[in-house]
Amino acid sequence: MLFKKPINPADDARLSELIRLKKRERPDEAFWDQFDRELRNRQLTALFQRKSWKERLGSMALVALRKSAVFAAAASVLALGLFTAHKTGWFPGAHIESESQAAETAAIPGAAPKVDTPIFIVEKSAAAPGEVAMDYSPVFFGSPSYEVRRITKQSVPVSYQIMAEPKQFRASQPLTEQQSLGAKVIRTGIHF
Amino acid sequence: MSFTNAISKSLVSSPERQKEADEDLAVVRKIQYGDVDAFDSLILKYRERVYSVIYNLTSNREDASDLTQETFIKAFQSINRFKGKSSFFTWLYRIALNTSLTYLRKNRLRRFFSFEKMVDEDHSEGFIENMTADSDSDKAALMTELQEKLNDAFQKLSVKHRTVITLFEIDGLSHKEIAEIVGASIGTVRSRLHYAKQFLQGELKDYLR
Repeated sequence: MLFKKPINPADDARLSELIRLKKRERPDEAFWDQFDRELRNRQLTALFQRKSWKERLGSMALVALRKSAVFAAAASVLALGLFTAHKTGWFPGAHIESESQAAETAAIPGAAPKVDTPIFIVEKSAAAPGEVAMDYSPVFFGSPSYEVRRITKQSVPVSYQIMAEPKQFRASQPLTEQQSLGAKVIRTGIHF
Repeated sequence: MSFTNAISKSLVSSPERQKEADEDLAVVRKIQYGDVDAFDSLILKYRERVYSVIYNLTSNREDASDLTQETFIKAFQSINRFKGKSSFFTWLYRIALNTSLTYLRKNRLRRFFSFEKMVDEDHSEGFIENMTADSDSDKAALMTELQEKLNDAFQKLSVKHRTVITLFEIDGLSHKEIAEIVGASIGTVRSRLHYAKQFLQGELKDYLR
């Protein structure tokens, strides 16, 4: 193996001498004149250059992430929490704002809805376990909300889905308010 | 003596280096207090050494010039974050290395070489005297050939090995200083150096007889 071979001291000295020839590869004075000029210009640019807010935000985020993974994790959880709270209508007035946004979207000809599948909320007390026939794929969306992607009359949901506080579900087909799905639909919209 | 001065003292190997480190730190403090022009003295002091290291890593004079400027710009922009935990020289070299490594990584597929001319010195080393032919033109041709072979052999080394041999043989740094700069143990530095020398011996054997 290459690592194991000892180096002959005489060869080593000659090799060092040979490598040190590279010290002779030096630029001339004209090179340094130009170098100084260019560096001065770049230095001045750097001195007066202001980063855009996006770059500054990016740098700050990078520093924060480097300095503290915990901080980054906390920020992520907070962001997720805010997002979830917004989506579930936890903020007072969030529904109104979202509905008005939905209306705006609908008013624009050809504008695609922000959410493909309609979302609805069922009344908490209307459905009893075993009475509602549904086939669903519950997806954890962030406490306290669950999503149901498909509803058919084929199987029975687990009870807590319906018996809990009003939940936000996602259906694969359009629904109307007051429609009975075993539990009465009390609100619909393309998003909240 | 401040705490950071005490730290940087423990990291500097010789009294000369220590003196240099203290002087640099004084200049850095001036810059940090707003004397931006004081940075020029650091540029003047280190530009050739930084350039030499980068040039020997890239074997391209234009790239080396650009990367050396970039190194000083980065150092200038980050000078307020320099706390004196290492010597300024170590800190600057780290910036130079990182800048070069990033560049080499990005451009590894489209690299070409452009060499500096070898400066002919009066106090020629015995090596050249023994090797060169009688006429000046033969001597120049031999030097050119040797330079190409030397650079070619250097570029065949991995960047890690090239870095270590450049800092040791060309820049004259100690194992300890190199270890600090590359962020490896002294043992690793020695091992890389040994490997690099063995490799170069094989590549340059025709010139070592």
